Amino acid sequence: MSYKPLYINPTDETPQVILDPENNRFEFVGNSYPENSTKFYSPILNWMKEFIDSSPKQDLSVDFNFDYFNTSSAKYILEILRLIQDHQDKGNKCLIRWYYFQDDTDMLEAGEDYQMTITVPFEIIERTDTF
Amino acid sequence: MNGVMQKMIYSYEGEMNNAILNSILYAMEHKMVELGEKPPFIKKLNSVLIECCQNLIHHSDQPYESNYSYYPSVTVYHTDEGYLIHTRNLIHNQKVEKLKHYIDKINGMSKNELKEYFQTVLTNGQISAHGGGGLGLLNIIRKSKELRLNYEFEPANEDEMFFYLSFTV
Repeated sequence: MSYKPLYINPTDETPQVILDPENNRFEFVGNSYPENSTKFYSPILNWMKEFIDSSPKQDLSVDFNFDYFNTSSAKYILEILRLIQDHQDKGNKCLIRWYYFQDDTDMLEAGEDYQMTITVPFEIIERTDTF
Repeated sequence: MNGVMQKMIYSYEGEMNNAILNSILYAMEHKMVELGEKPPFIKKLNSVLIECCQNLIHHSDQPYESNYSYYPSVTVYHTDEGYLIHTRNLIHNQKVEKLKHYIDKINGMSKNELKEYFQTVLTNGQISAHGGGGLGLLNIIRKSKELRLNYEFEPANEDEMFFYLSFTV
């Protein structure tokens, strides 16, 4: 079954978003500090809710690869993680990959904080490339 | 300032929005590289500036009369202790007590208490119309050197006060 993918191009303050079930790519990459995070994240949450509500049988690996995110994005990232949890609770295999730059302890700790809020397997991966 | 080295390295006063924030981040990144700071620290400082400037965007109350001196401002000083960030914005009188109370509360928290409180607000808190989650100041204090936010209020006119916030990263 194919499901219409969601692609959002990155800007200075918003991440690249890829939600593409057919190619099994689920990624958030870049910065996230929009002035209005509700406006930016609403379509993403809606897409994910619809996708999960349609109860697809699909394993999900989601990459979170942020350089910066602000605290209002932090709330929406948690909402996304909770939706992935819902998908797992429906019997799908899910995995979160959280990337951080070497020595960026703030991003590492943010990952550890999120890790505690869900039971989805959560890998925290150090990026060794430069900032 | 007790003879302590304090050099202003960046200052902006005027209307605040994300386009201006991006130019502040760009300028600061270059300045920090010039000063020999390492990438993880530059990221920390810029992420604090993002929160500060977005607080100025979302929480500056508009003055009743247009007045240039009512614009928000952000200033960064290089000191012996690190980088001192100073912001100013206008807020309504009736919000002052609540804000004072809130800052006093988080100023008294330890590193672990701040982490726990952040978690609680993150997981249980409501999201406001512009997407704010009440986490901005908490995030800033957690990244501050002394886990402390200094503040002052000064009357601007009958209805509003200047809110001055400063801390070191």
